[in-house]
Amino acid sequence: MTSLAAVAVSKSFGAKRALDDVSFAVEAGEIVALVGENGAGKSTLLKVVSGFLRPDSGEVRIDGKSVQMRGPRDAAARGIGLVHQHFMLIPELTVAENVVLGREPGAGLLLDIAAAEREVQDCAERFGLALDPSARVGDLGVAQQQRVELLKVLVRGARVLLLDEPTGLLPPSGVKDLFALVRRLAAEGCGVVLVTHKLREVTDVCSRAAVLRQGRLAGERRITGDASAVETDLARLMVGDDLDLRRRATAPRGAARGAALVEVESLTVAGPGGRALVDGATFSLRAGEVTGLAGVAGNGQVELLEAIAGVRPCAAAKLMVAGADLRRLGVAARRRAGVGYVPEDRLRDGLAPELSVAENVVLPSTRRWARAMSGWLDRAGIRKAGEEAVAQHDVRPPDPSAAVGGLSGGNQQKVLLARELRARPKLLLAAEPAHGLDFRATEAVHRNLRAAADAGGAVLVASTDLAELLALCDRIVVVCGGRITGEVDPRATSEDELGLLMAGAGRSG
Amino acid sequence: MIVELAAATLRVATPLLFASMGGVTSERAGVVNLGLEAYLLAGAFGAAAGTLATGSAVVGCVAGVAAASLVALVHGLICTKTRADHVVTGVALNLLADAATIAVLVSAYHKKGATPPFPPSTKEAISGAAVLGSPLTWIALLAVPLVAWFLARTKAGLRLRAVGENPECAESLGVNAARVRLGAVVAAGAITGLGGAFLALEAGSFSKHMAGGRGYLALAAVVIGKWRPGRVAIAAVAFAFLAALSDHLQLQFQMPDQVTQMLPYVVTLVVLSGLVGRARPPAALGRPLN
Repeated sequence: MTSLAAVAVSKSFGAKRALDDVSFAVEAGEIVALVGENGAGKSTLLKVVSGFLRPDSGEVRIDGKSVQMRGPRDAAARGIGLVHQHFMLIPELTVAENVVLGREPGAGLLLDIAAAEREVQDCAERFGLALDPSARVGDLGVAQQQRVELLKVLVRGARVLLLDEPTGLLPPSGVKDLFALVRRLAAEGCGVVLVTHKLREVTDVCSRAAVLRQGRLAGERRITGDASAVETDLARLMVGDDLDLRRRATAPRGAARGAALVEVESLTVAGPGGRALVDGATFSLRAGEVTGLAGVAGNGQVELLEAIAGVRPCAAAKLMVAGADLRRLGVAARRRAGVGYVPEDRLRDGLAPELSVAENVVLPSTRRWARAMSGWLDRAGIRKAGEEAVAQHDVRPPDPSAAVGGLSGGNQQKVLLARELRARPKLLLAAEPAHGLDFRATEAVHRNLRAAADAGGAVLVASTDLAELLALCDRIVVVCGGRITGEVDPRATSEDELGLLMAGAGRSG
Repeated sequence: MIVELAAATLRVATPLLFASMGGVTSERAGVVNLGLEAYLLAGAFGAAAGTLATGSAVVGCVAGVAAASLVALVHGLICTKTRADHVVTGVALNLLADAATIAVLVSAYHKKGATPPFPPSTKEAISGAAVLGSPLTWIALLAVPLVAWFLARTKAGLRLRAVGENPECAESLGVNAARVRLGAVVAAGAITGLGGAFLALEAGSFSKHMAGGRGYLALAAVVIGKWRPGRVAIAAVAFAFLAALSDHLQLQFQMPDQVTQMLPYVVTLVVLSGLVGRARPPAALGRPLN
């Protein structure tokens, strides 16, 4: 039986106070939620109690005794295991190699692979995690990769599990499995800390929740009674009192009327090994409409958006946006035809992290910002465009010359949206637009997507977050295995129904 | 003719095999190794110094390995203790090694182009019987399965691969990534040093610029062989065969050697530009540690 506590912990990065006198504890057999907006200090707190960071002041106690940890290895030896939000896995290695790395079985210098695979197999079976120890991790799906992460911690005999936003990338069935495992571990006496900003998950599995806000402990609540009352209470603690949570920026309106603005017919994207990633997608979108693409991650929805944006080759019988045939056009020409694109990985594919906010905003239209014929950039004009974007989209800090890579995820997304909306797109494509963003930033993103539709464009949003789609979209198209398998009206559909539809055709693995 | 060509291929392949196995060891740990050329030079010079001092080829080999390991140690410390760019570091090291060997050549032996010749007995010891080839050639061939086995079947090999793919992950599991990389680079120096020793012993003396681009060629073999020891060795032997063939053509048909000697490099470019498919380097190759 192990308990873990952080007592009056503070930690600063440069001038930024990430944690300010925070105390937090988890007892054996308890599932505790740690909630807060992005940048509230959740991940920092996890890193402190798992040995990745040393606190500036305060202490970490295990079973009531103060401990000094020099690294994650010390924490692991004391039964503390952290499951990272962004998996710490090596895709090139096998499951067994990933799991035993650092504590390999075998005599002397030799690595006993058979013993490693056996150990992993045994542990996997004990916790009901189906996995092939000799499979290459890079070949596994997200849910299975997470099992590998869990196994890494379980094999090391963790008695306290720290899960950093574990459900972010999981399909609904994966979330269910994960929570079943978490409950079981708690029943066996493990302490579990669940970091999340999905309050539904808190009321589902946790007995207690600690709320962080701007590096401070905003409050703690027992989870009892009416779930929605608890959720509202927690949400208030998370954001402070200045936000009216009931007033949502957007609401579904149902399918729009009128002629189709976007027409896609038999769009197919070829994948490796002759498998089609997108298989004959046919649909049309109307002006003023926000359409959702619902699917379990990896079912072709992102590839479909990429194909329409022009960054991925595809074949199609028809691909028309506002009367323009996109099929033979490159990315730049498609943008001129009115296509805007918010890619899934905003920092890798959407923004130039080293450039400033203003430069990012004008990046696709630098020709317009160059003085006629001279090729010199119009610095003042660019700065003004940056200032406008910052003011209009409430980018923080409000500095158009700040490097985009240094902004928080939410503010990066605001910059990206500011750029795409400037062009007044006829078709705005957005892949996982709110992934990893907190309340406020998510609201801002949704408001902007809605605004793009209100301005007479069509908006197509791919998301694995069903609650997001149900709250935002006028209609939802379901994709499975690269095919469009159905369409629903979000006003008359529940998350569970949608989840079932998504799993409908059931892909193996 | 075929026997001659095969013997020549093996002779040319020996330093390439050593250097490319060194390259694999270092690059799989995530350190881009352009310093192979410097290791070869250090190995050759060390072997010359050792052989001339003691009259023993074996002592020469040991000295060559020691000299190359020392250079690699410096290289490894730069690559792990600083955030210096691996490519620039490696090139600088090569230029330095080239200049330094010449400087020592002048100050220690008072010669400008080459050391005095080794005693004849050492040449026999290292060249071996005509058919069997040099013992060093056999060691080079043996090094290939040995490196493959080390990477796949030892604890250190797993850690080395892990550090080359994702050092942060390895660190989070208690693996000291800097130490692993340093070890891999020094090992690369030791292996490549044998290749340098072979160059000097086979020639019977050390001469300036002795590595002659073999380090770069070995690195090309590493890339073409997709960082896998077996395939890398095949690429290295293929280069050697082309070089041997080029010598052969030149002698037989009086083709201008400037043309025939381009052969391995032309092949490298052709092969790299698409024939072998996309190579996937270790994910953290060239990425400094935090």
